[in-house]
Amino acid sequence: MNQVKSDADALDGSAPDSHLIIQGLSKSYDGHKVIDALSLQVQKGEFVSLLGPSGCGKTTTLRTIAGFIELDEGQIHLNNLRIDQMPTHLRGTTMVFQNYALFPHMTVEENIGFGLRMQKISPPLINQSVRDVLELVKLRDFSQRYPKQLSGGQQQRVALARALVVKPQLLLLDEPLSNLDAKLRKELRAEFQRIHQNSGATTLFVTHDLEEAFSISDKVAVMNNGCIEQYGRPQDIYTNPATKFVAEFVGHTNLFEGSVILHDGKACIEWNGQTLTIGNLAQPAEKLTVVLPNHRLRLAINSDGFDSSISAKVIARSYLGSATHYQLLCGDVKMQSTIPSDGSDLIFQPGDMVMACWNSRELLKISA
Amino acid sequence: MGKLASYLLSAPVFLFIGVLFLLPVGLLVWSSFFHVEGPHAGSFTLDVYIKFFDDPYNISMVWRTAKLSAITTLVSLVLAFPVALHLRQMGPRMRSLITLMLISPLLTSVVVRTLSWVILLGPKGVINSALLSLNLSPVSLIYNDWGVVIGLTHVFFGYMALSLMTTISKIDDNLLLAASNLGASRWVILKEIIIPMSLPGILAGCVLVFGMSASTYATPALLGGTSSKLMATEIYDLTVNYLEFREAAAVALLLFIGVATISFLFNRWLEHGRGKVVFQ
Repeated sequence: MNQVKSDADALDGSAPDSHLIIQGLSKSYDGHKVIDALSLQVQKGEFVSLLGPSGCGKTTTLRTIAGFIELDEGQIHLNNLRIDQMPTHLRGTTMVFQNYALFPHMTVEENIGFGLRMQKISPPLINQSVRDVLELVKLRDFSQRYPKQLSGGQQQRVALARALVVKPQLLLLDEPLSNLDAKLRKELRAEFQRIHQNSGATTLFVTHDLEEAFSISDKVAVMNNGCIEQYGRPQDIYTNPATKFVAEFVGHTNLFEGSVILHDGKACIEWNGQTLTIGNLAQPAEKLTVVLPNHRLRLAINSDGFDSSISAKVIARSYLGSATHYQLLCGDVKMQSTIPSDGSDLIFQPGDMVMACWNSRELLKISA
Repeated sequence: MGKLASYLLSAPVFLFIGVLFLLPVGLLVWSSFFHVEGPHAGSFTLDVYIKFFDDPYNISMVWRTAKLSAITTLVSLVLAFPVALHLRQMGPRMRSLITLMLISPLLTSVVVRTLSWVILLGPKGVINSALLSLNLSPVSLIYNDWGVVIGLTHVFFGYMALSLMTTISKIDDNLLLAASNLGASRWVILKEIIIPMSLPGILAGCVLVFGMSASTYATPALLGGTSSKLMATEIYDLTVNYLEFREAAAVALLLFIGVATISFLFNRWLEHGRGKVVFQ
């Protein structure tokens, strides 16, 4: 939460450089706050994801920026222009919809040229721009097809082309990959990345898929209950989750929560009947949650070479190819361990008693 | 259940339709192509058809039928389109209430419904009494083409609205948002997105209303004038008043061919032409 606050503070003073500035955005439906005083800044050319579970307000935020939904409070500035009271087409934002929303009665070419035609651009210029963008999305040979004659992935690329061709100040992507199968998603994700690098369009991408957000974005804003819980680079969010929600949402399962005490001169927390060394993460008496990434938790017969360990029982094992995933029970707390397949590791069976080991310097502290 | 059993179970319906409908209609159509009596009895002839097209009165009757049906179709379309657009934005309760209102003329007996128009539009009806009491000259809204169009539109408007509703309410909201996001005004959205996308509904509604208007009997008989006839009233006259069954059958077949051609063309467009690419 601290991080969000400092972002918001900076707004009032000294951040005129940001391309998109959202300040104190709120929206309620029937007294229920869907977006709650949300603030966010995006630099020109950045690819930013709004990541969160369904119902967290990410799509509403996107639609409010696009002008499809009126906001209750707050301001939106884009390219030094206040846009939150403008009609949608004057805002300089274009949207790519989850269901593509292509005009079924128009060809690919007509779909893509629609925005330019609305801007009364001359037909030869429209044709040139449409050709260029078709080249960019690699659909040059499909210009005369109707949307029904294209695959889902192709339709989504047409939708992207239609939004890009008008050179928007901000490109809004509303879960554009979620209607596609897993393989196509990965392909199209890489494609989106390439297209973003080529076009340089500032992009706001809404998704509930962690891998998608992390792999494609410069920055990720993790949303929950209409608020941004954390905003930062994917690696910072993973290694330094701001809240318990973020830690769990980005896939951390081993969370230790307790008050800091001094034990043998070292800072420790009491957790689940164990005293765990936490290195120099905190001062005594502080209440603290620390996270141990799954891949840092190793399984062994004895704890040689590690400074922390607890005994645990293997309750499930799943082999994933590049790694093996174990579910453990320590007392009555569940933990998870992901062991990379490097050929030398012991294989444990469900029911085995093992030592779950780690080094305390690998623990991550949750800021709030 | 075997094939035989399913045939047996549907046999009564086939018998009913076959014996009571297809057979007599088939015989009638058959009779229009053959001499029934006289020296050439039983031989093929197109005499009733030739006679029909030789008479300019008949040509003008066909033309008048087509014209009044087309006007009714057009008026229904223009009236129903805004209703269907409006229904799109309504909640399900309001929508079913209005749907009920739209089909209410169909739930009334045709005679009651038509005679009500006489009370309203007739020379001594409500409208003309009001005009007279205001010292304005009366208008003749009945026993002429106006009366037929008003009466037909009243009944068939509901079909048109329902037909439009089914396609218009299927249009994805995101399409309209996408269009307005890209700079389309409300008018452009209507012209370039909603109307083209409602084309199957528009055409289906037009085929339906045109076909029913051209073949309906009671409304033009009661609200139309005696001076000029429509094909449906002509068929009735030929059969009941003149006992000219062969002529009546010829007119009926021509009417059927006209209406069937229109719906055939529509189906072709929807299933094989551009309609298939876009809408199926």
